[in-house]
Amino acid sequence: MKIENLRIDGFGVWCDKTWEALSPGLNVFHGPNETGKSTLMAFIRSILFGLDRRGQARRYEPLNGGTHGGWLDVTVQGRPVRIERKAGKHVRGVVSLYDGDATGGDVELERLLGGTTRTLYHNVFAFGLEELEQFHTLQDTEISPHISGAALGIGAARWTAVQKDIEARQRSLFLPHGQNGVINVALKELESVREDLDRTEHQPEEYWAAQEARTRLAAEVAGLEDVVADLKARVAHYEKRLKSRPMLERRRAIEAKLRSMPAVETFPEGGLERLELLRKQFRTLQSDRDGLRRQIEQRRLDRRDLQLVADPEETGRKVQVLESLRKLVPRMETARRVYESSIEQRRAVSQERTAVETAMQSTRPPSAVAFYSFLALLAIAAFVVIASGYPYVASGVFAVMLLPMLWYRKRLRVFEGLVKQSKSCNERMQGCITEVQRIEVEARSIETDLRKLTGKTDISQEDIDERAVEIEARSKVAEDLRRLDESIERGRGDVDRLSVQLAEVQDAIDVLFTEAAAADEKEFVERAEIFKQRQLLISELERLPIEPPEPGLLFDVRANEEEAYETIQQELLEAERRLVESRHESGRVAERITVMERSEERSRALARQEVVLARIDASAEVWAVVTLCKTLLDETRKVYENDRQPEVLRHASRFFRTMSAERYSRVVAPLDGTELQVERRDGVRLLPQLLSRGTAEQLYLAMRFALLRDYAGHSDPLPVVFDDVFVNFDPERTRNTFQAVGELTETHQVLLFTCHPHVVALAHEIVPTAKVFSLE
Amino acid sequence: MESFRFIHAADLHLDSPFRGLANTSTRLRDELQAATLGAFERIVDHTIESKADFLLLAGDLYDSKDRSLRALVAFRRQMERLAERDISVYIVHGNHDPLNGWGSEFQLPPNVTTFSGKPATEAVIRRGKEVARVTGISYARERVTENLAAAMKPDSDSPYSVGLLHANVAGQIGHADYAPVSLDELTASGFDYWALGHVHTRSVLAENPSTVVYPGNPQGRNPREAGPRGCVQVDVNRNGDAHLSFVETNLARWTHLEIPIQTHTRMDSLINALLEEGRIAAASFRGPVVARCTLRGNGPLHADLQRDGMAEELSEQLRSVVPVESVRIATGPVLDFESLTRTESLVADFIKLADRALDDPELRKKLTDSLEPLFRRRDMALPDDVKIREWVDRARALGVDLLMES
Repeated sequence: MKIENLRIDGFGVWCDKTWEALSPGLNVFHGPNETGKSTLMAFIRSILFGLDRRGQARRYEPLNGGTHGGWLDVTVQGRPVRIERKAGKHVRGVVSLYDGDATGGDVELERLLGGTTRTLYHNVFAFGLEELEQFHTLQDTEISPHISGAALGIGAARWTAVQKDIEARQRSLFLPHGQNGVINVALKELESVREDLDRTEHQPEEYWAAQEARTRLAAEVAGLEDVVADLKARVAHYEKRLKSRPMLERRRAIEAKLRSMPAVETFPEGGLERLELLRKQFRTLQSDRDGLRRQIEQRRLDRRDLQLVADPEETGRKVQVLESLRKLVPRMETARRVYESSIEQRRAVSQERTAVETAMQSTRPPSAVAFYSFLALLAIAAFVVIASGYPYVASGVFAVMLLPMLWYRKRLRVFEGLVKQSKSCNERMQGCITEVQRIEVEARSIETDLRKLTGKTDISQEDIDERAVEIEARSKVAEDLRRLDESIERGRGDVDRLSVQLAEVQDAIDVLFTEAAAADEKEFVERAEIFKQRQLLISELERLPIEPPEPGLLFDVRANEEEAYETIQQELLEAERRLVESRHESGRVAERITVMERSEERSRALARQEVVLARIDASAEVWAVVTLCKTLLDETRKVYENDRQPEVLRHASRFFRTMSAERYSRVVAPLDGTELQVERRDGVRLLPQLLSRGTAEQLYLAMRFALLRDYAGHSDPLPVVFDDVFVNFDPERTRNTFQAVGELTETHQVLLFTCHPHVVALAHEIVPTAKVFSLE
Repeated sequence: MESFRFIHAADLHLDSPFRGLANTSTRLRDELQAATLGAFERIVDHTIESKADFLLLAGDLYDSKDRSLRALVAFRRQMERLAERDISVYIVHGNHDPLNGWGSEFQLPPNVTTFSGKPATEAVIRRGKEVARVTGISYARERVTENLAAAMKPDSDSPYSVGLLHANVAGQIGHADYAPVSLDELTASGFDYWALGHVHTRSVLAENPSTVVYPGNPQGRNPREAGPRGCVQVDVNRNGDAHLSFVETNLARWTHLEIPIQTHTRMDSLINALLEEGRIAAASFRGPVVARCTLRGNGPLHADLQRDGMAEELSEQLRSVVPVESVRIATGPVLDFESLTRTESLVADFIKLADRALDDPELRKKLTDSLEPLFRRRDMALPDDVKIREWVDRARALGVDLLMES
């Protein structure tokens, strides 16, 4: 953009003022102080980027009349455009753009300005000494990006933040010697898994070894089982031998004894007992026969005695007498009893009669006359009393008279009863006497009969009984005789029978002897004893186990059997112990094999390894992306420093080198946003604060030139306005600076305000095309 | 000829560890850890249930370097199951379980034929008749770079010839180029069926008359081994035509959830999309489905997603519907990098630098050198260019994010 004409209606000191036909290159506006140089620069700024706020000095309200505002005629890419701005409703003023036939406002103006902002313009394009000196403080504002990364689209702070962000991301995942990154942790875990894997790596070898051990042990067990079986057979054999030895000896002794004894091979079954029994029978039969014979003799003697006692006639007679006697005895008894009772009755009646007579004497009553006389006396007494005037006494006397009358009557009645009783007694006495006389006659008759029979006058029951017993005894003896005869006859028969039996028993004994091949009883008994002993021996012999033949064991067992037995027993125990051990070992190995076959330890470790690897894998991918990003960013920074940065700063370096008369070689702007640095010719880098005022201003100017050049590369650059910025420069450096200004005018229109005539002269000298405007 | 059936499996990698179960429950982790064993058990189950005549295992039965006894014991147990049913098994060893490696001397039942380091042929007799002949060769050592297939020749009188081999056919990318052979060589070799192993992804390289098959591994173990995994059942008819059917055996599936963020302006809508994808994945299989989720694309939520712990938070959310291996955020900001690069700015410089990072050898070295501290460690090899490219892109996005943040 090039300014052709300037027209001010009213702006600060300026009023209704026009500058025309500006050079597209350098224009020098010259005038002393207070002539409005800075106001003119502010006008250009204001037309392009708006008025300052109301109330601020830089708003430049018109002091000498005229409407606040004006216009610029500019050329944009060869096209004439008028930009007019007047103070209005908007604080920045109202813009009118005339581009050929088209008109426009703010939007069209902004497009014309190509993205350059107000701040940027104020600080880079149109500035006075004040802005120049403040340059370094603008690094944090809008200008800063233009110096560091700003031209590249991001701020330095952003760059720094990006760096930090990336590094944090990397660190959280993996650091080559870190501890806490996700991958670092996983790698550590991987190591532990690998340890597990290393540990279980030889498990299979152990397994093969165990398999071999199992085979070996199986063979060992089989071998030991054979050995044990063999030893057991030997031990059993020895045991049998040792156990059977005393029996063997006994057998031999028995056999010898049997040989030495008479050969009684047979003997009747129970011979001795049978003989004994027969003998006993014989003796019993003999004694029975002897007894019977003695009995018969005795009975014969008894019979002879009895025959003397017994006479049947005598006996008949005695039976007759006894019969008669037996009839008499009851008659006699009866007569005697009747007699005695009659005597007794006579004595009783006599006693009664005596008692009655006595009673009669005591109870005889007084005579009737006497009695009545007494009564009459009493009666007279009574009348006398009456007469004497005592009737009551008289009545008592009469009453007393009644009592003797009653007593007399009772006595009279008792006496009459006793008289009657006395008469009865006399009658009964007479009866008794008659009875006694009759019995005496009977007694005499009985006495006569008795005498005839016995010669005695009296007979008792004892006599009769005696006679009966005698008769009884006589009949019994007869019976006994008969019975004796029978018995004698029977006894003779029995004796004959027994004799036969005895003969039979004797025969049986003889047979027994023959069976036993014995001549007599003595020999029989001897042979019985021998046979018995032989039988005992033979049965013992039979009970003794016979040693069976041992197949396959042909070793000599007689020599030191016990010792050999002991040894082989020890051998067996040892072999069995080894067998048990081998079996246990085999079992343990088998178990270990099972455990190993079932073991998932290695599988698990491998799986765990995969888990960790997968985690590493996933994180590694992220880390790789982050790391690649960081590397790319680093490379980008290098590109910036080596290729991009020089685009701005190389120009700055060149300008600064020129201005400083080669004292400084380079300007460096680190991408991390730290301050600009200058590199002296000797390579030392310095911060701008350490530079002298003039040098610092040259640096800042160089930076602006560079930035302006940079902008020239990608837009139609806006006009540049310098307001007396060379005041602190020495002549040589001012000259050098003008060289740079001259170079700048190749791309930019430059408006330079100065109050120094030597500057105007220098401008002319160095840039001959420069157009000079006087503000006076 | 007789018709018959066999099962072809490979790359069992028994008891080899599962990837990325850091945040899953212990129960699930144990379950998944045993998944390779379980998947093999399913192969054997299927072999028995389908009344297959024999089973082919084409190498990498286990990882020698892991020295897992559990793998060997489990393998032997399964072999014993087949032995009980008189089913023959033919085995070759691969690069992970070479003959000179640990574990190859493990005793196996007599129904198992293990081919040595020299080609050999075994006749398969079933029901008294020879149905096929299996020719195989094992890796004598881990790195076998010669063409083993070339040494294998079918018998001319064989009713049906099967070649059993662990090999990389036609230089499959992502797998070590062991026993390299071209497909043409195989199909021209005269074998009716090539039972291959090595490449973990199932692929049928050729079908009838010469059939060449990689059955894939029976159980995926990491996000790269996503999708259904199993073995191949081969039914050979009287004409000698092979009919292949895939049998899924994995106990758990891996899945990749790619969530574009471009269309989402709000975090809750993104989370809903994430959960929906998770649910679909979880419902796609009757067992556990382990998901790796990657958020991609440039979208308005990119800045939010850069927050610390965001991946963990999203993992937590997603875990409510499906087991999660990880959630990875590979998003970028909504920025017009093109126009940004046209400006004269540090950001533009940065973007330009990132864009030419891998083409400029000096810069590329600087970048890879900066990754050294972590990636020089053992088992932390630098990934391939594709991955590094992705990382640089993400680094670019991150850098721009940081630089532009106001």
